Amino acid sequence: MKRFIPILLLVAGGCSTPYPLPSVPGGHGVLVVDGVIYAGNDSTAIRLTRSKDFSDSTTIPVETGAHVVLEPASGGTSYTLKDNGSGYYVSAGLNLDNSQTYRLDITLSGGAHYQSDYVPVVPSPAIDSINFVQSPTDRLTIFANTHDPAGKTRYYMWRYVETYEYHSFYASLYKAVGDTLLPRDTSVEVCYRSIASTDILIASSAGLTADQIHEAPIEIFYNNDMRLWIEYSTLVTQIALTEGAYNYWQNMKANSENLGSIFGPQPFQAQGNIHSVSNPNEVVIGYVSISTPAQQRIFIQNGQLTSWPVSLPNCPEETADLTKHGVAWYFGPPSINVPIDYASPTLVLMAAGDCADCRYDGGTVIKPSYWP
Amino acid sequence: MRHFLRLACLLLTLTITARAGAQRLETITGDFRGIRFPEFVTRVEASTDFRFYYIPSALDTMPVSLTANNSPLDSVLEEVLDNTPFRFAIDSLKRVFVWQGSPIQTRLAAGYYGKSDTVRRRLARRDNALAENQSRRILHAAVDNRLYTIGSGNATEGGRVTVAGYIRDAASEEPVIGAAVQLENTKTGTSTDQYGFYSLTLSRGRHTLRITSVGMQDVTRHVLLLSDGRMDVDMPEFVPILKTVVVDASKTVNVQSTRMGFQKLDIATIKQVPAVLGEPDVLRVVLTLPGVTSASEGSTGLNVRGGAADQNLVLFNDATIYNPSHFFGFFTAFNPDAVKDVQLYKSSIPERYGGRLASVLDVTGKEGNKKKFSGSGGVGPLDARLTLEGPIDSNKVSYLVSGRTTYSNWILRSLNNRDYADSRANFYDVNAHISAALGTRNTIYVTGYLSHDGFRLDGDTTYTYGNRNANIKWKHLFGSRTTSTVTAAYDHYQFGIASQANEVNAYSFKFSITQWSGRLDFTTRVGTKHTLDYGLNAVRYGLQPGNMQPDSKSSLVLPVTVSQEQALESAAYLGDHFIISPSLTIDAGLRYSLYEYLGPHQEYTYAAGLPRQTDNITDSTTYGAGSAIKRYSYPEVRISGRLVLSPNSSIKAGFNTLAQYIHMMSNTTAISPTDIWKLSDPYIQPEIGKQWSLGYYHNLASNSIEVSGEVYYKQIDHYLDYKSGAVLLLNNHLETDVINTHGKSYGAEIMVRKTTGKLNGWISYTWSRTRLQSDDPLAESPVNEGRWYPSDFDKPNILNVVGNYKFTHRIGVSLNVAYSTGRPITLPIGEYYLGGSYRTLYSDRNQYRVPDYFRTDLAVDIEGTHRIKVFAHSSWTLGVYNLTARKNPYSIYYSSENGVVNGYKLSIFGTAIPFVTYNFRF
Repeated sequence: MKRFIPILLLVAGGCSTPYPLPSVPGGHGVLVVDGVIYAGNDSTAIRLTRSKDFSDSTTIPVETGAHVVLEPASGGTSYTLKDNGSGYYVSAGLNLDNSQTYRLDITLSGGAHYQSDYVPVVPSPAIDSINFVQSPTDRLTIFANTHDPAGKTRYYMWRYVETYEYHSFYASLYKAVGDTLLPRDTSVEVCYRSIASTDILIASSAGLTADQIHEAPIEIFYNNDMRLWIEYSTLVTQIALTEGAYNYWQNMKANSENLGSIFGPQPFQAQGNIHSVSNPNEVVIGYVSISTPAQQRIFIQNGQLTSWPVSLPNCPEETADLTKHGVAWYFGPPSINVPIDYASPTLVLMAAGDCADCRYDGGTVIKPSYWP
Repeated sequence: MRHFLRLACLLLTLTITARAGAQRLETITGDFRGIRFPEFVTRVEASTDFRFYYIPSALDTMPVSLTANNSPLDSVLEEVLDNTPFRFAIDSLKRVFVWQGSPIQTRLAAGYYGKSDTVRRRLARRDNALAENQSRRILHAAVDNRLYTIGSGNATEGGRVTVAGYIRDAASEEPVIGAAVQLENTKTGTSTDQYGFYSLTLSRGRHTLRITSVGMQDVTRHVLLLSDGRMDVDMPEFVPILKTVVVDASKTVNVQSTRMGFQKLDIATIKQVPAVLGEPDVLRVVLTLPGVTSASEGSTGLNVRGGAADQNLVLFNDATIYNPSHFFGFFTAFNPDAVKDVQLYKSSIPERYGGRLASVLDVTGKEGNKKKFSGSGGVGPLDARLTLEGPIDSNKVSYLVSGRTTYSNWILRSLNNRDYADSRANFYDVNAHISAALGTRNTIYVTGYLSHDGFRLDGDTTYTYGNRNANIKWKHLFGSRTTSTVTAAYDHYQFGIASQANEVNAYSFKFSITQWSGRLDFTTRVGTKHTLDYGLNAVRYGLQPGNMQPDSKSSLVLPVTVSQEQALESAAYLGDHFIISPSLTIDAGLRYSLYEYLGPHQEYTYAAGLPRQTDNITDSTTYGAGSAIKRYSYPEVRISGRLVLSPNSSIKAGFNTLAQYIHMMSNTTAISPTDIWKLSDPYIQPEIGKQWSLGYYHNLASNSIEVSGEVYYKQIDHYLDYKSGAVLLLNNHLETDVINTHGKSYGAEIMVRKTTGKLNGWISYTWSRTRLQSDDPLAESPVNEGRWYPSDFDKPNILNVVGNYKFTHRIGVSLNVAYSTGRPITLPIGEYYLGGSYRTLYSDRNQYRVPDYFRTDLAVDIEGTHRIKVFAHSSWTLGVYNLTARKNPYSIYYSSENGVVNGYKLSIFGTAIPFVTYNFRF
């Protein structure tokens, strides 16, 4: 239904224009429990934060000093997650009993007590493949494919961390250190940038005769997307959900990502499976799920694509005349220029930082270990 | 004209007046070549008893060139006036009238008489043939200043007699619906029904009747009532005559009618109002009336006096239209060329209607032209339309077919835009209508309607929807006091969703409603004070609530079919229009509706007192075919009264109750093409509405300005709201997803309407509130914790101005101004970080509003030639929708994108949209 909008806008000359965030108060302080508990060898990190008003420009408030325990329904051993001081409560591989159900018991430093419902351990089947399809309309989509021969999983969720290699327009051979130019010992021409997924990626085979997920979209690239200019890699993590968790994430997606449709339903706050022990009506955000993840990494090289042209950035080359000003004047703060090379003993070619030093675009020059 | 003469000849064989017989013999002989009309007249007058009446200035220079040899005057005149805009008529006093203008039929003390041979033989057999003939004769009254004798007998006898007949459009012979037939200078009167039929009981003797209707010239008839009889009246269309415009405005319907909360718009009015892309749009004009609003600018879902969009009974020629929109709701699915007028009942809903709470929107289609083949059409930026109509069998049977289609697919393809390359959007609609007069007492109407929409966005999911309707009506007159109509109808609505983008998940989903209905409606005049409406009707519903099937060979989609639903809704009604005194009239009626939800079906049982959730299902019961699973019945009261305070003012009051047994399940703000309907079942109770209303009506400036003010209070029980995250498609237990809600709405509506003159139009202002409250004890989390909250379409202040100004007869300007309070929306009150992104925190529903809405549209109509005899009349409409280019927000929404929350204002028509359309008729 979301796709209605563009066509309506097209026909009617309508538009979506940016609008300020609401300034209504009263939205701060709601407890948020974020993260997935991993049942196997993978380490678990649960983050406790609070909601904030839109007018509050500080970062999200974290809840530290809480006592976070995973309790099995049968009694037995409880697992305490360790407070790392930044809102995360972590544990090394929990190796839970897959036949058990567990709940998360949270006691905040102020004494407020929260509990999740008991949830089963839902192991994820292996990812069959992560593939990509370049459609004729200059679009590339990465898909996940999986199936569960036992037919027990049905509800899936994915997260990914993508990494791409990109190059600066100019190769900078020198760096400015104080009032002198020194040859670089490491190149700042090639960078790798990693970004974690932000969207809720879920799919279900509940309406199918087999527990099979065929081409669930993970990420879409439109033509010229710089992530595919050289080489791209993504590590997809798949977890399995219960039906309740799937519905929660579906509602969460509908109310935070898929808005703006003419026919969209009224937004509402989806209710998760975590409740205040003393006040059952208190809104708590998040849904506790326990799963064992499956992972797969793929690489996409620009050469594999039919046509994915690189568009050249606007990077005019300028010259620093060292007879007029010193190096610090040209390259020290607040200048964002980066020296490229000497054109003559007193003339230095230079360009804006993001044209000559790839780190300006958020990446790092350290090549990841898995990079080919 | 020839047609009229043929009729006249026929009559002469039946109405035995020596005088008329003699007339026939008077013939013309002579050489009239190379002369002008006045000389021709002089010579004819010299040799015969005929006397001519005409406007010399118009005919003085007209050449005449013919020879006559013992030719009857009528055929000579036909030849003389052939290919001229002039018409003529000869009366029994041998007066010859020649004029320019609409074809009004003139016949003195005579008229159309049924041509049935059996009738003729029977009449011939009878000794009192003359008397019988007189009483049965249908007077075809066409000239104002004449005295028409109806029936036979003695005027001094006293007592009451009834005159009845059809009011028709003189040009096309279509019935004029809702025309007021009034005894001049009194409050006694009636109005014509949907077939243009009226019946009026008056004292024996001489009366003056005044017949008025919007868009028609007022007609006055002097009648001498001797016994019960028929009088049909042809009303000329209101065509302003050049230079001298005398407007006799006795539009007293506003004050005199007993109806409250009623508005009628004829298509000429509708066409004057500027519309998006220039396409005249029936429902959008209805939206300018007081008490009517819509949640969205791009939606044709009407909210009438706080009712939901599914609470309107939309009828097109008596066919129930479940989705009256095209193109996501941008356009109304009614071809403007096939529509005659629109009547909106929002308060006193006649007893014969039922089944919806808020309003009845009765769209009457045009009947085919009974006199000649004609057509009309138009070409706009997005679509084209064509209508053809004409007689099949002289003036007894006529047809009308019209079609409309869009070429938006072509536009989308030619855009060459990545986002729309794989998108398709198209629609069409087709109407067909046949009316056949069988003798004078029977008329049969056959109507068919078909609409289709299909769109595919981004090469992925394909949506289709459409209406299919057919009905046949037989109207029969018993004497002059009772009319009956028998209707059999088939109505169908369906939508489908299909996707082949992913071969494994390829599916097709279908939903449909099939409705078979029959009705029997009677109207009987009893004495002089009572008019009774009574009848029976039954609707058999069959719903396919959802059928999901795999749509490719490799698809693994599990076929799911939600079990069919069926129900029978029947009703009997009786209403009395009781004239207590000339100033006080009461309409009182009762409609008793009985609803049965029928098997085969499986119903779940839920643990008593626990929320209706799948976890709480304790049992299920399977009912066999035809067994009544649940029965509801409801006596619906319809009462309204009118007290005339002065000839120009009246007050009216009304109370009515309604029950609705079929509900649209939609948790979206605007009507979407994927909204299913649901029948009332053991858990989903019928919606019940009660409305009290009071109004004051005043006409100013010789009745040319109508002022009305109404207040109302309305209560709705068992209104359906939805649980958060409700699943409405493919749900076998919808009761787990709905929240029983009740609502109240109240408001005041003021309308000032000027119906005639160079400047005409209306201003309407509505102040209203609509609030809802979850009152479902089984709801776990009632909306806004069970407090009252505004409905999605609660817009307290709404102002509409529709104005037309005719500069000349060819150029007119129309202006439309709309203002309303912004609609309520649910805003996030904060943000939090979850799942890799900041996301919005929502609290109570509908606690904020989008900014106010304001729009101005302007259109200029340029008419081609006004000459009556040209091959085709054409007109151009140029205009601008949203002249001020204001970006009226449809919604404000906040979306998480790349990890952060961004705010957007969505405007549907965010710019000034110019348009040009070309219209023609022939």
